[in-house]
Amino acid sequence: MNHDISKRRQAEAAPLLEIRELTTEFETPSGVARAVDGATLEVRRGEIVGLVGESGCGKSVTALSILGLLPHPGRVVAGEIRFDGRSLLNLDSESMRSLRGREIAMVFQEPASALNPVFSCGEQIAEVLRTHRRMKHPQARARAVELLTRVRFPDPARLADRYPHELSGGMCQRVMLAMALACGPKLLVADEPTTALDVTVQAQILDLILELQRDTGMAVLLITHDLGVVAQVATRVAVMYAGRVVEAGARDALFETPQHPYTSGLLRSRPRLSGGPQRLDAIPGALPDPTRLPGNCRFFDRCPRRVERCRLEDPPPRRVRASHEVRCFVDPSPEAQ
Amino acid sequence: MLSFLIRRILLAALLILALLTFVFFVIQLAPGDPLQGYADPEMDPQLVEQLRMQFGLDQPVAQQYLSWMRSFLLEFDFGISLAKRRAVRDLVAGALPNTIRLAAWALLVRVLLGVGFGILAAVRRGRAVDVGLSVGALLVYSVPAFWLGVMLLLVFALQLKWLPPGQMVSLDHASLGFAARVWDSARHLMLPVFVLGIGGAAATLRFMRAGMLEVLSQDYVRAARAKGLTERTVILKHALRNALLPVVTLVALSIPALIGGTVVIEHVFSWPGMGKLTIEAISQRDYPVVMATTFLSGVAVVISNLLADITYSLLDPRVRLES
Repeated sequence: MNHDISKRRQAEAAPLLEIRELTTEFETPSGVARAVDGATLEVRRGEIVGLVGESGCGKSVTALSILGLLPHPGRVVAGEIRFDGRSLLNLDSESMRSLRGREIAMVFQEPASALNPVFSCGEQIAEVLRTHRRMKHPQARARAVELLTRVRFPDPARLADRYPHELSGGMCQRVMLAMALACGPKLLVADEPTTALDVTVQAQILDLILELQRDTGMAVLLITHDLGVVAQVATRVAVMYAGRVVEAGARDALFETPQHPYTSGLLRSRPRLSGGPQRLDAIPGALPDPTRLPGNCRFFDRCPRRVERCRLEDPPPRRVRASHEVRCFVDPSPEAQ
Repeated sequence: MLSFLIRRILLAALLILALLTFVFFVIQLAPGDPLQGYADPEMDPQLVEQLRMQFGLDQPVAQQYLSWMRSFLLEFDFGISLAKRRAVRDLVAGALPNTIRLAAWALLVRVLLGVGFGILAAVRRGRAVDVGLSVGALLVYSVPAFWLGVMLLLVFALQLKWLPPGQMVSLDHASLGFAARVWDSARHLMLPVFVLGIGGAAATLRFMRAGMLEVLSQDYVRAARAKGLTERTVILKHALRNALLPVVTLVALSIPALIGGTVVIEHVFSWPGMGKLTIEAISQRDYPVVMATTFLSGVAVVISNLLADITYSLLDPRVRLES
């Protein structure tokens, strides 16, 4: 199909979202906390990138940096974020606002609290259309009902009049997705969209995100701590640790031959169904203090493969394959796996 | 929604009945006899007995209670003032509108200044505007109303002679044209409304600021920004509607205080309202008037509670459906 070919060419040309050496800091009473420290990440058109890492590694702050929604006193101090040819960090607040919800949409971890309790679901979708598409009330409302159909609500007109507290968490997340889809964004940033949901509902939501992505061709940056989620839907995966991306590559390559000891650790610490009861391999230790990030390798204290060089130097990105990079000095030869 | 309203109104009616009963028996418990203060000790006991019969005081308490309730509720007959020898109903009808006029404007000042500046302080948190407003609010809140009233009278009425020193209208009010009459009333309202409203505005500001700050850190405010809504919509629609909820309660519950508790202000500004009527009645042991004003303050409490409930349910769908 011609359409597909041209889309693929476009995708090969330039990434939709390009984050280079992003550094985001929070000034706290106990010092400057570097939540993101030189993170580099790409999302190409129409692909789903999984951004994985444990709590506090800087995933969400990265997402909020993209949208210019960092909570006070957070600010981006270095690096670049390019989206669709524009540098987002240089945009004035009005241009940034008009981009949000129109070209970049976001869904959040707690769908029930991300919806305003005092407005109906339909209204909360319709206001996006009134803001960005300058629709009038009846038209926006009609479109909101359509959008609710697309996120699989059997009775969308009735649902539009209901309030968030009348819905389950999964339903709220579907409303959030309908809202995100409203203007046909090029990029959906989904910050732990399934974490707060029951397992069965999680699968439904992931399935829905996949379906919507296929239908609309939008790119998705899926932030999660759950490798299972990534394995199901992502085309590429970036692993984040202590404020930077330590490994990034195609999903299968990354899952089959993880290069970074942290990635390997994450993969081993997942529970498996086969092989009977077992101990989970937790990674010992904790993330370094973001107000006192070390100058050497961030993972040094917790690393099973560390060598002397790791104590002294910070490993730069190293290319393993065409699109597989890792920040580690040690080459995990087959016996190390 | 309708059943919610009906339930609340029935409850309010019940409360008013209970209040009436309470007022009646509390007065009964008070020592002495309503006639004691007025009947000359050397009066013919037969005459006293006749007066007692005239006022229905010879009947059993239960009987008195029932007939009192009946005249109160069905005929709005609050009896006759012992001191002024006039129907209590007429006295109240003269004073209540004056108090309501004062209270309504004061309430408006309170809500507009309190909510407006509260939002401003929250949005500009930590900046000069916020610090200035918060310090100002604390100062205003700490100043007693009677002192502020007297000082303003001194400055604006006696020194500068810009505004009248009390009363509701000028002596020549009736002879003025329509526009001049309105202006005359407005000039008389300015100082008492300001004094009565500003303290409440300060309290409302603090409340509004705190509520707004809490709401501004909620997920749905961040989500609203992520949708690309303008900052104006985020603040005045998404955040305000939620932050107003506690303020509604605060403001509604202050209405009875405005209706019944303007005593000091009415005194300072010689305003012929309910406060003045009540104070005079108490000092003269004018029981029928005290009973009527007490009852009306109670009604004000019940009605403003009802108003708070209704406003709350209009603002918050979660309350609406919790039936």
